[in-house]
Amino acid sequence: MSYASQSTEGLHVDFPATLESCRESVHAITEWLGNQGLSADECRDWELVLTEAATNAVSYSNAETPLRIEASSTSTSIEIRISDHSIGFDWPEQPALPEDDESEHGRGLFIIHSLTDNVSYLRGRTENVLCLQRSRRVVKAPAEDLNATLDLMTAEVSSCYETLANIFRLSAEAARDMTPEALAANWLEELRHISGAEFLTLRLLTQDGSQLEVIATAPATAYTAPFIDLSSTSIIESRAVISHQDQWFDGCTVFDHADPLSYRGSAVSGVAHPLETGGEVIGVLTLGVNSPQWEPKAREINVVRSLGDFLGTLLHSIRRRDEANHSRLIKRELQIAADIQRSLLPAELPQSTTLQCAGHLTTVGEVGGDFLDGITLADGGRLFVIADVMGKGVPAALFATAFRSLLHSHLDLAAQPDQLMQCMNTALFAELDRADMFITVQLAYISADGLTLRSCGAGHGPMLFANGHEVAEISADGPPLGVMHDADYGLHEIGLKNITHLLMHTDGLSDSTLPDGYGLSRDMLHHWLRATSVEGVDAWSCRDSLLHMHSLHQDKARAHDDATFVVLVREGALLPKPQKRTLTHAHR
Amino acid sequence: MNTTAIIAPYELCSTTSLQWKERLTKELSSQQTEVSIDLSKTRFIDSSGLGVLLSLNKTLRAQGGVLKLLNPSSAVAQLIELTRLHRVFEIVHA
Repeated sequence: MSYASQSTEGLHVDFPATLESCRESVHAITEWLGNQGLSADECRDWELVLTEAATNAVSYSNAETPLRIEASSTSTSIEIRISDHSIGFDWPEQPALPEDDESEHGRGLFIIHSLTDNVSYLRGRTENVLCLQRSRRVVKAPAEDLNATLDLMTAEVSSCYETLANIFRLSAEAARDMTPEALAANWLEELRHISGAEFLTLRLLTQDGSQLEVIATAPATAYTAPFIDLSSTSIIESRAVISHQDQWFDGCTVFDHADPLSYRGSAVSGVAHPLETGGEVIGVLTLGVNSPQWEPKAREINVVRSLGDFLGTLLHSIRRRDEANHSRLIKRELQIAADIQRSLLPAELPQSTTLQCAGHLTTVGEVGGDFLDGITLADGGRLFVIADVMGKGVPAALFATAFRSLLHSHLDLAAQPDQLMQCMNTALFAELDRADMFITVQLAYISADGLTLRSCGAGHGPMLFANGHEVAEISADGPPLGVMHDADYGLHEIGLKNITHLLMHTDGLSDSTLPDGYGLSRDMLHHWLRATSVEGVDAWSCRDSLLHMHSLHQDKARAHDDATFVVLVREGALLPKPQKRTLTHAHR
Repeated sequence: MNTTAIIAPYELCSTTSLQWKERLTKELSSQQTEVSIDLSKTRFIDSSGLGVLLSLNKTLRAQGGVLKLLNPSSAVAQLIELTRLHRVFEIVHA
């Protein structure tokens, strides 16, 4: 229970060291101060100071030891002494706020210091006395109070209106054909004017989310690091993004050497504000001044936060829209490239009464690096070509196109595939070498009477042939095109009298994306070719059955290479009437 | 969004803050994503009251939520600004 007594000096209150008694005593002192003519604001400040000081004293005291608050008033100031009998503590010279903005404790002494003019703490053996003094404030006339309130309200309304008007203007500018960087630069200048900051930097996350990329600065000529790595929380702006919290800095902040703010010297203060849209951080707006202290009003910070968030969201949307447009453009270009590539394939493969042929080309994506051709030559012979340019996409398709043009301009060498291959390698080497690419090729010339095969391979998988009993292979005769400028290529010449079926294919046919044991293995290809040879299956049925077998042994979702093949069947096999659709083409 | 509005006590100080904090802990579930503390009726707040708000802010943010302080009286708003907590709290004047 607290009790109060009036004295000539003022008032003193003795009370036990409990929080409830402490609160009652502070109420009693505050009420007395009101009776001494202090304004409501002054009484409220004293109530806060006394609550902080007395609560502190209670926390150090035993419940049995009484505390005392003495208040005295003069015409110019108020002095209050709080005495306790605890062990006390060391009063800091300059109480400060906790370093961690979010610390739940450690603000009491700072509040006491901030709201009084003089503070002294006398720590004794049996008693500690805290002396607090503050001058009375000059009481303003009620009319002036009203004007001040009206001014404040007008400023608040103006600031809200300013924010709203700026947002409308920002939206209108964004609708015009303006780059995100130009839009951001304009608005950072606006924000510089609104906030009173001397420098601003706007950064957005890169597409992979690993870095912060500078979009604009104000002044526009100010230098800052173009990228900040998000893995480092010791950098103020990274920390703001990672923590989703404003990060304040001032003259006491020790900057990491990699922190772009450290380039400005130690005398900077300000805040890094994370920009969010839909709960997701998209960047950071940093603003500050070139002095060790900056205390912008809450109202100014709110305006900057609101406009910064809106600007960030706008830029993020513009970026996404541009990326979507770019993606559509790329897709369209790929479609055109694919159309061109398809137009280079033969409409049909050459047929005769002595030789059937059927082929298939599957490309992964819109364009691929596989190529096949079947050409009837002037001497009545035929040249079959199958090739695989390393890689996929537009570069591979471009080389496939160049390869095809070169091939058709050197058909005079078709009957000598080794010379044709050498000529192609010489012509393409420089371009392939510069692009760090290569092409594997299989050339197969079949004489007009269908009895002789001359083949040459450049780093390509083996060509398979079957005679109704067994399957044999012809392996490569030299390196892929583009690997060695003066590469030599060998020639295989084979009599086809007993041969029924031949298979030329790219490695995409047998490179399975399924686990070992489930894919289309080399042994399975041998087994299949032997069976088709024994049964005398025609070329088109061979093509369809191989295609079916390939699809069964392929995980389409993970297919990574083009799959292309040509099946040749000689007159020794059962030969039905030639058909159309000798070449099929699919893409995944 | 799971939103809850809570009216803060008339006085949020050392004698009331602990009790209020316990009440909040019981009332707010871990799924709470947005909590608005109405401070319009709060006449007085001290550092221990601020401590409770900071603790709540930290808890909510850890579970992906957000704390908003609604319509603080001028006395409360001034203390928040004095202690620079306007950098931490989202303050809404409706």
